[in-house]
Amino acid sequence: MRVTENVRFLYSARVLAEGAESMLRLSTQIASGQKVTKPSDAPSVYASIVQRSDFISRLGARRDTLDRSASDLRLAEGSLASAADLLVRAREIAVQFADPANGQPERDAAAKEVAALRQQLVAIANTKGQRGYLFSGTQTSTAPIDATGAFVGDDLPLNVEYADGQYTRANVDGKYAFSAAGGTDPFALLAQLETDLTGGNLAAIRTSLAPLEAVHQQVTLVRTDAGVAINRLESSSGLTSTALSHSEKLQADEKQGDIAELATKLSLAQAAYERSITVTRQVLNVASIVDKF
Amino acid sequence: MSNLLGVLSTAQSGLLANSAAIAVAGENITGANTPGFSRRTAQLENRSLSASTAGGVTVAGVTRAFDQFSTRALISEQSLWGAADARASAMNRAEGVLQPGDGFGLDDRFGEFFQSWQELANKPDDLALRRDVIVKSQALVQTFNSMSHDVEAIRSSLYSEAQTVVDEVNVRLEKINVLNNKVVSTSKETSGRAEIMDERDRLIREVSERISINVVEHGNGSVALLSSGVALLDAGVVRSLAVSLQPYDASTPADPRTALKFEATLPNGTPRDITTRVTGGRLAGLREARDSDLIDLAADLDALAYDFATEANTRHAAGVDLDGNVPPDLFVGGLGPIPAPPGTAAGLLFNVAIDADRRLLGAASALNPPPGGNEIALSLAAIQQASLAAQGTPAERVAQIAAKTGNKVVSAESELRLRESTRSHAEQMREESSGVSLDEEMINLTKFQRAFQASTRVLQVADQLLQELVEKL
Repeated sequence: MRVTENVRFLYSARVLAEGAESMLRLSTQIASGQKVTKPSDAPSVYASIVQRSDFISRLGARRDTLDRSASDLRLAEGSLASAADLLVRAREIAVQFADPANGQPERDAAAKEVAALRQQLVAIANTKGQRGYLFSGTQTSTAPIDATGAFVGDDLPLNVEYADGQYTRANVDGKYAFSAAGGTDPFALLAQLETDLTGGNLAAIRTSLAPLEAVHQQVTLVRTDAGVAINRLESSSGLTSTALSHSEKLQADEKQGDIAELATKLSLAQAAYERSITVTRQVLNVASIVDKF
Repeated sequence: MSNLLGVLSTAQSGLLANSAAIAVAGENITGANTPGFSRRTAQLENRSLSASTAGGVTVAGVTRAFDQFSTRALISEQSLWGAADARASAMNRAEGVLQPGDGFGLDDRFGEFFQSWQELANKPDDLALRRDVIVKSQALVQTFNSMSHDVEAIRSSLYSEAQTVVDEVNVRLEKINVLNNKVVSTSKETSGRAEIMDERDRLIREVSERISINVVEHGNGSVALLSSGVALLDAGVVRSLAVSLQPYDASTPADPRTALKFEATLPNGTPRDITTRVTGGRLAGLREARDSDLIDLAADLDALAYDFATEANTRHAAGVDLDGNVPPDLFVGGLGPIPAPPGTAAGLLFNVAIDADRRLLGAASALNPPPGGNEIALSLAAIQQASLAAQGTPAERVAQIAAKTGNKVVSAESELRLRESTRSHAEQMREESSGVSLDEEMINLTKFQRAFQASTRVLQVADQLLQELVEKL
């Protein structure tokens, strides 16, 4: 084998180029903190990362939706509790002023309180959460109770996905709670009570006791539904969070490089490169007959 | 007298021959790093005795170190390396299309699209959320358009590169033809001829990097270059190479895709299609990347765009808009419906009618009065988990495309590394047989210098003897 100067140069250049490439690759991984930055780094791992990212994104969106829905339902439940309290107070007024011992001035004052209760009930029914009006069904941008006290929403469900392909209702039936669809229209009932108090119609006031009880029950029933839905959503949110954390950890393990391992590899590559330089220097500086002239 | 004069002649021949040999050693030393330079040797031989000469030495010629095996191996490896390098370079660019940066990939756009429908499902009559769905849909469509455009731009640039390579081949063929004529007309075994042949071999290697060739050497020193069943150069005739575009699938006239077409001109002047016979060199690598790898990538993108858009339109059509009407298609093409592959990803559009009136988005089921709930919004969000055309969810399809392209890049780079190694080995083989060793040349230089000095001494002695003889007469 004839070893010419060019043979030595070609060999040295190739060895150094390979060492430099190895160091660059490892340096890039350490700098980015990721061992897989493009499909060709590890095609199957990259594909797995893409799919897991999609899964994580899906779980994250689902958890956010569940949390927001649960939050709105908690607000709805609280609002319904307040509504129920108002109706209890209205019934107390009806019981108190059905008694002829009260004079008309007292009944007029009571009528004003009932009017205030009715206004408060309108405000409660028109409560807004993160997703819009809580009691207007699917018409979340429309206040369910208009200026006349009429219910203008709907009773349609807004569903959310709580598991893959599984959906559950995430709104309450405001129409049942706040309109005649539930049996009694609370606003009409309170308006009538106000009228009866103002007119001193004691028989009518006594007659309103049963409907007031019924409307209290219809509000309470919807509140119970809200409580059940909250439990379901919170439970699903918890499970989703657990799955999300697990997936994020797997993703991090797969995507992110072990810095200690990469640093060790870089150190080894650097040592190999330095040895190559030393060898190259020796090869290139080997005594030549040319030096003797 | 005649003997002494003969000694003078012999000494003169030694001076001339050794100075010529020193010149050859000098050429070797100075040409050691010239690409393609082959070591030369001055062929010294006895000068025949004659009436006017008394022996001595003469330079019969200058031979060029040439090993046919290593030269052929290098030409072959150069072709394989050229093909691998062209393909690896193209595939690295293609990989960049799939990985434009964190948060800007097709998978990210899909995620945003589904999340926007999920948000709308929470509040289906919210006009701001409807605008968000439109924006995210447009972003997804633009990503498909942009990726398809990028793939096509790479294919277009590969065609330009093929044109450049073909021009380079033709220019070199002309130069080799000129050098062929010089070789034939130059005296054998001279430094000048060796220099011409070195230059010709260098050009042949450059041609082989661009297109695979076979080299046939004729008795007069000229070479013929054969490629893909055609003599590109022979007997002073150059048959130029040409590249153009032809339909990718001639059986489907509507298919707008194109493929490279290589042609060589036959002796009768007619072009001959050699496309499928070009199996080595940059042209082969460019063709494989452009008309196989990138066509595959574009087809996968088209299929995904078509399957997704069709599924989304089908689900959307099952709902009603905010006014209770059947909503228009979400995704369309420039001329109406979604364009069938090929060309879906490039031609996909978001319906401008919905862009102009967001109430037209169908989020609700047709079973309920407007706004009617969120069943359709949930259904559209659920495409994220649906297997499109039974070939995987959108994320799975994106992952499949990325993995497929990643594997092709790995394969191309692996082939390139192999070819770099084998080409380097072939270069080393050629260098071993034809390269210049400075040690050898320094020894030769010393050897011929000594011989020159000795010849000078002979001349001096003969001169002294003649002078003494003249003085004694």
